[in-house]
Amino acid sequence: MGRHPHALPAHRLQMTDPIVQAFLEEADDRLAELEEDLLRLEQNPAEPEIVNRIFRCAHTLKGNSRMLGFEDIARFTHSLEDLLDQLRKQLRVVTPDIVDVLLMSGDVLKQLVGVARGTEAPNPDVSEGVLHLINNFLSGEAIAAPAPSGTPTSTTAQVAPTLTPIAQTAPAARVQQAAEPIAEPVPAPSAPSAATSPAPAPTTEAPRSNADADSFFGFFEETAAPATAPAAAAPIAQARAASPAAEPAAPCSPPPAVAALPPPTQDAPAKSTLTPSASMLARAAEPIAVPPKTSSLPKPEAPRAPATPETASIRVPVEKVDRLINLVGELVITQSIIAQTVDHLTPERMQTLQEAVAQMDRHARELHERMMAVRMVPIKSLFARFPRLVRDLAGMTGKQVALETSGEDTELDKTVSERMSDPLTHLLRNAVDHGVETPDERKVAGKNETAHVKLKAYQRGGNIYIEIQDDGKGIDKERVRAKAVQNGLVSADAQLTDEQIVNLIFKPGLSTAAKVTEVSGRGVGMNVVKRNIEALGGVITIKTEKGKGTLFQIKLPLTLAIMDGQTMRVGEQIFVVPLVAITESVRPQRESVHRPAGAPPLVMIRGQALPMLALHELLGIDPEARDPHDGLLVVVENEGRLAGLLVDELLGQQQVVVKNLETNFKKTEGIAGATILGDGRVALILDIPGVVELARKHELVASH
Amino acid sequence: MTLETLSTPKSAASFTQDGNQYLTFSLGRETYGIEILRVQEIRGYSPATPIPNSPSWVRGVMNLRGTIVPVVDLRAKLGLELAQYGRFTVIIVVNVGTRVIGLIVDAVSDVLSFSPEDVQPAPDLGGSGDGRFARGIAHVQESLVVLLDLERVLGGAELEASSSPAAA
Repeated sequence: MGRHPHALPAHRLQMTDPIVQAFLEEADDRLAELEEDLLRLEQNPAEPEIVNRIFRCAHTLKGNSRMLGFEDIARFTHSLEDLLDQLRKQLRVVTPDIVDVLLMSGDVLKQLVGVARGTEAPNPDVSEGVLHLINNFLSGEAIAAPAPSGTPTSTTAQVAPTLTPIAQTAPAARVQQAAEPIAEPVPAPSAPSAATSPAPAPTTEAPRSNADADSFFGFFEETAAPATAPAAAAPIAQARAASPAAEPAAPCSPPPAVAALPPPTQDAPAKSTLTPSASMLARAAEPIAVPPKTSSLPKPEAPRAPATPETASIRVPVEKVDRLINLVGELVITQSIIAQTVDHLTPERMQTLQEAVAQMDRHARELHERMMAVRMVPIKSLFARFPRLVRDLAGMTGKQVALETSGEDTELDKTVSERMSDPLTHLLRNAVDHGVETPDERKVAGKNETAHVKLKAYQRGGNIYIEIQDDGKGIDKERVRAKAVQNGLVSADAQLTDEQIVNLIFKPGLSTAAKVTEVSGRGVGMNVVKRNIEALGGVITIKTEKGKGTLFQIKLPLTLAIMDGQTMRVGEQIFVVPLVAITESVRPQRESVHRPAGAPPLVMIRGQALPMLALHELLGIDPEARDPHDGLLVVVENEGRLAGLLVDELLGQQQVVVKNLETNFKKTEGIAGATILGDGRVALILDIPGVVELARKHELVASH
Repeated sequence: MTLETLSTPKSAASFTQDGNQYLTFSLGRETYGIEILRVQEIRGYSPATPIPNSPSWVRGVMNLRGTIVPVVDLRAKLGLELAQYGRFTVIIVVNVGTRVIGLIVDAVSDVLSFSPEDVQPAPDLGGSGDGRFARGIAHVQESLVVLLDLERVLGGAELEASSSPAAA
């Protein structure tokens, strides 16, 4: 995290001061509410209560920031308040332009709060730019009539001169944006298509490329929401001007090469010209991307991500805490009953002791459960950022998209919730960007012009499910397959089920290929999405139907601290393997094990040759079964590949509490952590990718 | 908890300042001492869960009321001849930096106080292997107590550097 000491208020209130901390946390909440209300206001411009709420929010923020000496915030909110006051007094009618400026103001405020927190560098140009817009509104006469269609363009005309120079003075920021692995390929493919292709819908493509180019530029790179200002600025200019916007886009496009590219006539040549420029950018970006500051950089594809990705504190409802306190009290009482009974233990009192122990057991279990619940937060906080994302993306792409969220009260582990932010942002971005069609296309297909994207969360059993469903055109399986064949991911004559084909979009080779984004509509960074979800112990599945839409279903564990594990024995030791990693367990036949020279031992399972990893060799344990067919083969999946772990015995499945090994020891290859078994013994949890890596090294040593 | 556990090995040694008190224990015929403030508790020996591919002197990890604590065989760590674990074998749980570590020793002896004058710097004899782990030698009547420097014995680098006990 980059620290900017000069960002602290002048009168030396330290960041660590609890008052400042409380202010910053509250500011985050207020700004989130502000944004929600602004989006609501856009839908119901005539609702005075919403305006009042927004006004109160800005007012509180102004007061608090002034009190604590955050003058930048106070000054900005002051102007904002003036504008809101006019709305409140109905001196001015709420127009989409005003909402845009207000949303931009929210972004500026988020950035200023980030500056106050010390996680972001101040970027006065941006805040001054938005301030200028506000003042333009204020200095202009209060228009009571709704703005005619000409007005938006003039507004953006003001935006452009203000903002463009900033972009040009920040070339480094531009490259940092390019360093984002997921976002990097996006501008490259889309820009030429806008500039050169005679695509059926140039008007819709063009604004997108412009907006992408802007976020690529990153002139709002220092704000909490890089894409939002361009999002607001670009679409107004282009989408409403209703003329193909390739030319306005061009001066903004960062790599000049992209605009000058020949029309992408065929997949192959287009790819060969695009990929170098993309990879060049990535390479150029590397040295700049290395400084730790990048971690605090908002990602272009996650414009709504907070500047501090994982906040250290949790707000817990008092009711939860009270119940915990009660329960601990109960536990202490039961404990003393047991202690007393044990002190004067007579055969008659045995009954009392047994009862007390049983009670203590119940209390302890409940305490454990409730303690876990403290970490659980409603998914609302995560979902809250997406309406804005979808709104902005829809604006950029010229599509009409309605986001429907449900199940916001579903509770999820705080860490899981925070780490789901990027994958969900990406999936939603994909859904809007590629999944749903333009209004024209939808009309032709006989669908409602407004596309519906559903975001749903629910709990079933020990898992949380999150679903993202669009009613767009679905994934084009033929093209995914063709692309995979072209990239050498599958052979041309491979027999693949539909499911296997669709799952190819998670392959890194496919998703980073620039062209697939264009043709199949899906794939940018999908492997990253999958990896992030798997890192949380989750699973992502796709259901897609051509012309009807696509459903992504994410299954997540309730908490990271508890995991479904399969216990197994090797020699005298017990290990735990995450259940999600296991596909099946088999007893290998003697003739199915092969030990080819110069290759790891292989085992044939239903016609598929899997590497066989003898855990006892890798972990240096004396096993019972040296002969594979005396043992059991646990087939595990690692990054889409299967491998067989040779163990002595399978013991059972149970939920295990994951403990960290590094706290007191060190990271150990092949070991993800430890857990405590029912008898108090420690069992190690295997880290499947680590074990595979261990086997690879082992093989290397053995073959030399 | 700490005081309770330690009240057993209390002896006639005068208690002056905590900072000068040492828990002494035996390894073979020699007596060693560690600062008492580092000691969290003393437990009877119970087998630990081995950790694959870790240094031989790390016997594994144990469950200390829900915390996973590595267990180090101090004999092995100091390069002494290994011994069978018996009924006097104990695990001394110590704090080193932010870590909690269990040390397997032959037996706990005593809690002794040494004034700074009682402590001589450790003679640098090289060779023996554990010389560099000593912060000093204290005299108790006829015998000697080697005062260990836990940071050097178990310092971060020692546990983090994978398998070389010499990386100090």
